[in-house]
Amino acid sequence: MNGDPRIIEMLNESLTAELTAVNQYFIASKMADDWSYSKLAKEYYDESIDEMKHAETIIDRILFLDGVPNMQRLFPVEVGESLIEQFQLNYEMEKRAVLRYRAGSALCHEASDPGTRNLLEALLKSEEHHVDDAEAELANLDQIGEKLWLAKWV
Amino acid sequence: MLVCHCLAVNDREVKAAVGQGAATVEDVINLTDAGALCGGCHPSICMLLGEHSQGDCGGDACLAGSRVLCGDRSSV
Repeated sequence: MNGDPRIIEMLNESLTAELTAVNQYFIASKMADDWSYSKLAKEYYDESIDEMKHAETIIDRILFLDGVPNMQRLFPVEVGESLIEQFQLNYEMEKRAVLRYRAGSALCHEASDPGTRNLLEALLKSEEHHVDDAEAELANLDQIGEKLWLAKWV
Repeated sequence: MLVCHCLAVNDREVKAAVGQGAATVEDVINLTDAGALCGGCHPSICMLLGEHSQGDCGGDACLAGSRVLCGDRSSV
């Protein structure tokens, strides 16, 4: 089915972001594991897989709309040099994802493409949960301090 | 944050180079080596240059191929 080129471009930008997130969570997981924070490593590992499933949904939609999924483009993969820096960088990435999907949803409305909008809204809900969880953790970090917070993830 | 993954250069080193007067990606490469190999971090370097000049990456600092990615990051 022939899709609106603006929608395909927006989906490709979302795909770039999801593929970036797959890598960013994956390296964060591996580094956390290397530093013996196995609980956080597991969380990041699962989030990396979640982002890959999001990428799959987007790829399927681009192909359905007769577009070409761009698999070779990435945004900068932001690798923190400490557990807390990584956590903050991942939180910033999730906030950008929420803004991107909100803008994407508005574009779908404008282009009369409710099919794509439904898909984006499901992804948006997932990213909003990530943002909410991260905000709770950052509040937690503020309340109990770095050492206790880090101890949670060993 | 690691900026250049090829040569392991972090954001503090790039910011220090900008503080020393680096105004383009080329300057940052010369001062820190960041961005000298695959070029994948050029958008990140642009962003750090942009931050320094209040959101304006400034013409030649921004490689044509990276512009979309730069815009994406700085707009959020």
